[in-house]
Amino acid sequence: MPVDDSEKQESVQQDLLDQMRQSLGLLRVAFDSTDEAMLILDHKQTIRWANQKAADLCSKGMTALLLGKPLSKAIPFYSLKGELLPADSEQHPCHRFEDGDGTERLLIANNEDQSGSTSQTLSLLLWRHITNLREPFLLLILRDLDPIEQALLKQRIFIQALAHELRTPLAILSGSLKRLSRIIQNDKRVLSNLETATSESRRVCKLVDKLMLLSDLDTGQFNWAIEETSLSEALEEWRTSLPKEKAARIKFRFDPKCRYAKIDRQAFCIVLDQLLDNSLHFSDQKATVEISARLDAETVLIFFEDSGPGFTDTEQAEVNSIFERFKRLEEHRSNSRPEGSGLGLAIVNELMQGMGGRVEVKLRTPRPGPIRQGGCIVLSLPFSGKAQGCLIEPR
Amino acid sequence: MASEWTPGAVAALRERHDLPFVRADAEGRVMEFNPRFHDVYGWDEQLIGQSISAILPQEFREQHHSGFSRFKLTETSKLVNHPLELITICCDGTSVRSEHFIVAEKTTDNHWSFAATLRPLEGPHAC
Repeated sequence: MPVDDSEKQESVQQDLLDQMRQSLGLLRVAFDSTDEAMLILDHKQTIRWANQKAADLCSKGMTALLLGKPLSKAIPFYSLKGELLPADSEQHPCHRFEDGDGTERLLIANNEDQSGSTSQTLSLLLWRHITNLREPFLLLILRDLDPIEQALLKQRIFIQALAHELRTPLAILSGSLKRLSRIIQNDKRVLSNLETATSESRRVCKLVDKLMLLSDLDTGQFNWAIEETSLSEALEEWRTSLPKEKAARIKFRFDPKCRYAKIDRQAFCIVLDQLLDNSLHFSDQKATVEISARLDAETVLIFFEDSGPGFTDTEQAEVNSIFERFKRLEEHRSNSRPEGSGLGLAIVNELMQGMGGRVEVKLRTPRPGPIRQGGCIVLSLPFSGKAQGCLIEPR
Repeated sequence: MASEWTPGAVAALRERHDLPFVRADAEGRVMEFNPRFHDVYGWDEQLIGQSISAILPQEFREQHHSGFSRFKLTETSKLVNHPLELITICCDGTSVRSEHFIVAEKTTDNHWSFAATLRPLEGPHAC
């Protein structure tokens, strides 16, 4: 090759290198200017790249000091209660990375303070898998929650603490009322008052339990264990756990070959408990319930149908509001039964969302017959891939 | 301030005969090192002209390249003018924990020059 050509080629290569270096430098300047801490981890969860904010947060501003460190050693994560999450604890975010992309609210130690003291910041941790490169990487983004979200989260943490604190005195109160009713056998008036007090304290206990569950969900404290599960097994297990008189009211319509979904068994049972309680409450304990399922594209639909009052006189928009906290429909109010907590369906909604699904009310027009006039709640769950063919559809 | 560069800084480091010393040009290519650098890390003349990233662990290279490119645009860095504990890769592929002290300086022809002394913190040459 002539010398001139060789020199020209070298010059072109140098220009290209300079351009690429400039692009890389500009990208780096941009990433260092953000208010979000960004890190890239390799498959061993070792830090391979960090922006300036990440270095400011955890290594006194020196990005080089973060490199090669395992994430668990570089950044201490704390639960929303302020407890340090050890790297081997299941609550540590490291253990959730393999489940796919995700987000989590956590407390992060903030070393940016010039005084040397360490404070904790409520942060949102997002992780995204980078799969289309020569080796897999994981992008982590740590974002301070905005002041409104921080205030909301603090409020929810407070409610959670309050609910925990209320539980013990309520249990003592319920126990004392029971003992009193055993001692006082003769005075009917006192016994009647005691019965009312016992019933109300039971209601408050349930309310506190529901508040605790909701605040656990709100603050990310609910221990999710979502796995591929046989729906028929999960439903049978739930029915078996019920008192006989309740279990007798439930009918399943299943094809035993299919019906797999990704669920958290505990959450799924709570969803069904809440729906059943709701059905029994609004049908004065006389409801019959039929549960059926079918596959709709990538979604498993579970139909929970009862013989209660249903939602025939209500607009869809208003019906959907029953999943809001403390929401009760006017058409369901009755002097003959005590009001529910107004939290059961909100719990159903939160749990279904937590499992990657959703819940809806299906409105229906009145038809003759003993069971088909009631309410119908539809639970949608992600299809796990194991299901084959269609399940039995609701009539 | 850590991000400032000092005239004469490279020459001052070069005078530290007791410590390994290495210098790279504006492109990040190794231009020189002292005998102590050879004694401690084993690198020979073949390193001259190679990217300075050769003496850094694989997992440091992405950050090094992006940081180096940023420096060329901004002419500021938090890594210069104070000691940093980093891993240094030896010629035989082994690694030695070392304290790097990096300086940057603009030459009279307006080109950047980067130099560092490296204090081995482990192994037979630890000091």
